[in-house]
Amino acid sequence: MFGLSNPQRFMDFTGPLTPVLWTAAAVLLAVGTWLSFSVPADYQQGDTVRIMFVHVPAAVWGLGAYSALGVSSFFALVFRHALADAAARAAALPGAAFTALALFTGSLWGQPMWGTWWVWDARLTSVLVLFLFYLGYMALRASIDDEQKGARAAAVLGLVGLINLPIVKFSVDWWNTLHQPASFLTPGASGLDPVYLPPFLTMLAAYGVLFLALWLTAIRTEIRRRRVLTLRARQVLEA
Amino acid sequence: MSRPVDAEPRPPGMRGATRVLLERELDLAWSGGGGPLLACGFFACLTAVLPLAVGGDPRTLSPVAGGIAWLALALASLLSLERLFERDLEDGALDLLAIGHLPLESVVLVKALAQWIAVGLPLALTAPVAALALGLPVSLAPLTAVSALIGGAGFACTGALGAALALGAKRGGLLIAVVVLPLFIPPVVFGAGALERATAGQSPAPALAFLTAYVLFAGVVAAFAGAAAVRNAQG
Amino acid sequence: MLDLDMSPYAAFVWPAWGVSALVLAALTARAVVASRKWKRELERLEKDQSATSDAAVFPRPQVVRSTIGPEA
Repeated sequence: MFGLSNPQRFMDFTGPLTPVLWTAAAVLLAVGTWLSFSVPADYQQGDTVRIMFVHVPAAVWGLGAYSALGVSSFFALVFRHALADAAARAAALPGAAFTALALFTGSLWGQPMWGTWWVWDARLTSVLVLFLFYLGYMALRASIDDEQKGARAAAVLGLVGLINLPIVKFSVDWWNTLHQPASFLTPGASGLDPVYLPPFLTMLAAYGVLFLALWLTAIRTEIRRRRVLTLRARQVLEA
Repeated sequence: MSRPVDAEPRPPGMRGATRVLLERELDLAWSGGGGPLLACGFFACLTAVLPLAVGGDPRTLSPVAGGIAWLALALASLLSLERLFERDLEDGALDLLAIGHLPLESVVLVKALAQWIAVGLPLALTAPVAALALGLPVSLAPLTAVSALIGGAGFACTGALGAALALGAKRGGLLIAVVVLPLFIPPVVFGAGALERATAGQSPAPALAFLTAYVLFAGVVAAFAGAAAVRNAQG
Repeated sequence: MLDLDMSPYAAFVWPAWGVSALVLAALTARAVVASRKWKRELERLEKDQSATSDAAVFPRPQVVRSTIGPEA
């Protein structure tokens, strides 16, 4: 049974913050969308370059969400703080959704470029593995009936996943050198034309702020949910 | 000098306790129908199904022989993981182990070790046979066995971690697989990669080095995270 | 300025953006709806709780069953 001290401060702090975040996200998304469609098409990729503006932010923040999940899991384990556990749980679904979006848009970006719907290159494969990490986390959480135990087990897995992620990324990169797939165009590899920076950065910021809004809202919901369950339990006791 | 007859028996000490637990685990692994042979049988079935699925043309099979062997190795290693802790949880032995002489971290490692010896070893011997059947060059058979042996230790450690996490959960077997297979990716990549490098005439040493490093890392993580998971499951 | 003719890639660009918009909207809707639901439920329960505890502290005259007699 956790007291309301820290969670209450969290609620007070995030109360006025979340509407600001939602608004900022909406604005950034609108501006980013407009910018994405008003820049000229790439001379090599044509109009498909516009897909990058929804693909890369989704991938970046899918990874960011997992880091948030992992770090929250660490605090949940070490400090046994229910707020940290709520934070880990709240990051899972948005993160998994962003990662799935990255995979879907990546596939659409790749088809006109490489002629196949999927390419086993280091980047996309790493995103796929990240998605699998999310699935494992959510599956574990859902499969254990006892909420407290499920939360703790998931925290362990979240942390293990976070530690393993660099290793998996390293192994996939190393595997990539073995198999030398066909060269592909990435912002990193070929250098991003500066004309694409404004829409790219705006959409990157937009996705980030949106994730923050989603995450904080979900944590607030989780805090309220637990409070409700506590009150209901107390009602039953007092009845 | 002899101890007085009615004195307390000397406690077993860490080495003794480890040995006792290891013997128990190996006993359990081999009892009840020869679990390790079952894993080898599963491995053999996978090896047989693959050519039936993709056609027996050596030109198709041979390039992927090493990789497929490693995939089958990973899958076969997943077997018998579900019962690794669950049996002890059910009959109360896990509580005794938790308060016993050995720290829980060591218990997890000993169980992983037993898993490696009981299941990993036979699989490591079956792996070259399977790979050869799929068209791997004969000269690579020893490398296959060695890499499978090292990789098997990694699978055992990570698998033990997965089994501890899924303790008390519904659909334990599948859950362990979903949790553990992404973590199996590094050893599979390094192990299969070693074979590929060797097939191409390059040295497999860097890949084997990465594989060994992963095994050590997995051992440490499995010990601590697995112990935490077991304590959690006991409530 | 805004050239919306994506050919020949229209079949790739629009689904990418469309599905992204859909998923983000669905995430947002889910988060907001869940938030409001539990907020309502919490407020309702807290009101009930304070109502019952208020009644214990300040008994309404019409429900007082005092054996001592009228309130002093």
